[in-house]
Amino acid sequence: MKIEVKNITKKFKENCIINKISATFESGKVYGLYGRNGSGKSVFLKMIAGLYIPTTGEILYDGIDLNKEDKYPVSLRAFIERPSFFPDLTGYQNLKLLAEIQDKIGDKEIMDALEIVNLIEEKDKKFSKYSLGMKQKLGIAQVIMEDPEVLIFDEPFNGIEKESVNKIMEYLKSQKKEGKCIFISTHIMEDLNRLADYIYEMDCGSLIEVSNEKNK
Amino acid sequence: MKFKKYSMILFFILFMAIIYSLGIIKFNNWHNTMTKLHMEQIEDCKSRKEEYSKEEEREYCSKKLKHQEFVISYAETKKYYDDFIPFSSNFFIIFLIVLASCYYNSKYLKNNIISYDLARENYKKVKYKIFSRAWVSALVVPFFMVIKLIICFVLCFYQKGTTDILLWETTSTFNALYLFVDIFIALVDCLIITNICIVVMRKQHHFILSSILSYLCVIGIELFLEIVIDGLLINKIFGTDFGLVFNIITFGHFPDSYGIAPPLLVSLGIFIVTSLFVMRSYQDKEQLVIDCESNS
Amino acid sequence: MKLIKFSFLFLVAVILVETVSVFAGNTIPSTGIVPLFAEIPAGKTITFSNYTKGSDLNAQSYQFNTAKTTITNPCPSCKFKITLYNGKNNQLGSVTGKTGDNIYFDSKYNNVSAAPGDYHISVKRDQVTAVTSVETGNWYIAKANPKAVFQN
Repeated sequence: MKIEVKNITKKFKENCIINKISATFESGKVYGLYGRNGSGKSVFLKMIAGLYIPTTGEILYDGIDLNKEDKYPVSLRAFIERPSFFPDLTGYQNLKLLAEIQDKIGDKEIMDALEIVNLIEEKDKKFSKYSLGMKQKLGIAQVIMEDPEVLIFDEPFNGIEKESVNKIMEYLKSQKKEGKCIFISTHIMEDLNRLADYIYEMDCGSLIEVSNEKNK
Repeated sequence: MKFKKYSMILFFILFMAIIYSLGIIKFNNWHNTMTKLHMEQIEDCKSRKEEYSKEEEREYCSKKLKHQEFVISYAETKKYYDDFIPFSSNFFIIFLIVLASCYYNSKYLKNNIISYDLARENYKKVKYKIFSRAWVSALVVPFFMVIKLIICFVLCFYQKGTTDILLWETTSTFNALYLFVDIFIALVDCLIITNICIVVMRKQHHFILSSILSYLCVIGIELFLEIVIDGLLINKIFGTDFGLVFNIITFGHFPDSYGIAPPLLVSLGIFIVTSLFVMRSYQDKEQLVIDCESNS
Repeated sequence: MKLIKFSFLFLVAVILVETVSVFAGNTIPSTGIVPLFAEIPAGKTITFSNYTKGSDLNAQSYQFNTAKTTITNPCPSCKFKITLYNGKNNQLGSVTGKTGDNIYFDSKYNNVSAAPGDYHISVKRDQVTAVTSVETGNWYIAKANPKAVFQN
């Protein structure tokens, strides 16, 4: 999977949030993103995920502009900003509901994902009863459960205890070795340095490469 | 999981099943009372047979003695059964349709589940899933109108235990075509109501608020049709009450004074207009995602 | 939130209350016909009080005279449902008609309404509407109505 971002800008009314960004993202790499609040990280990731459409420019997935063809990136999963699920359903039921859409996985894969994020014991608890960390874990679980080729995480480790963070990071490293393309945005530089091959800083809508696997 | 999705619709169906069952009980009680009254009047006639002096007395009693069982036709059975169904006020039924339409979709949009769904299927499918979940609630009323016809058939049959052809006679306003059109117009009107709910939910994702707003919109649109279209335009300009056909909240008693075609065409026309509003409201995927994010 | 819940409950309560009773006099005129005037708010049913039918044995019927609504005057196509009850509040028959119709309450198979006793009727708009309707008619309680026909 190759994602090419070609000269994209994003404006909301008259405000320019993303300003002429071009970049190429490939399989088997982890791309880290950091920047101050309001710099446009989430908007950028939402455009990669296909939720937002660039005002100008294009985003190509293996050469195809999915926005023009009203398609969606088939093997891409994203967890951006707040985790949102049905409050009256349990963690497990929420994941099951999402899994039923493409019907590619069964109960085993859902349980495996919950195991990786250390949420297996709380799977039968209603989402409304979850703490912030548990909600974040569930958001991560819905990304990893269907084994997508592209994984996008926006501030995923907020409120999660160190042990679980380490476990998830090890999982993501294994996914990178399997050729997955991973985007992760966080304020914690230590996490980016551990995981990311390429680190970008988002500043006033521009993407600046700070370090890559060669100069790390 | 499907139970959770359609729980409000199932509640609606259960409610309708309960009131229809109560209607059967009330109908049977009524029929027993009327049979008893009819028998009392027959006995009175028999006992006073020798005393008949007036022509009208003889006529009254001869009709009674001719039909010694209390029998009503299929059309009358339907008419009485309609009256005996409790809580069947259309204003209340519309409210249930609104609740059933808004329940799952409002929670779906409010909790921003759409952002996960859009990674799993294209926007067109996601959109039509939202619409179809609301449209399903429009099937309940027409479905029960069909059930009503079956119930009335059974009730009519069992009062005499015969297929006496006199009981099944049809008229210009009670025949198979008329009944079919009645049910079809009810379906279209219910779809109009669900369309209104879908449009309201585009901006208002809170379940109770979207239900109340949708209900007020339905009544508001009905008032617009009656006051502006019927009253100010058609009645004032053309001096006719043809505007009666502009009605979307009468299920089972469609305004047939001008025949079948006008109310059918008007309902279909309003359905097409509301459908266009629905398509237009949900055209912009990105704006919908932004609205769901800000409302969650 | 409390205000929303209260408004919600109030809305439900308003929808459920349907019947309005009007108490008029109960003496049948010597003609045997009771003229009626009903002003029916949206979604409501108007019920009149009992009249006593004496020894007359004619089947009862109803003649629809005039109709109008708040926004349509006259409304000759507006349909109304007139329901006949006996003194014990048992429904004996109902007719649905518009201006100019004359219909018997009984079916052609029985004549329960012809017997002496107490009777009252209720009037409601057949079509669901959001406006007020007004209907006038003649209730042939104790007189033959040669123009009347059986409804179904």
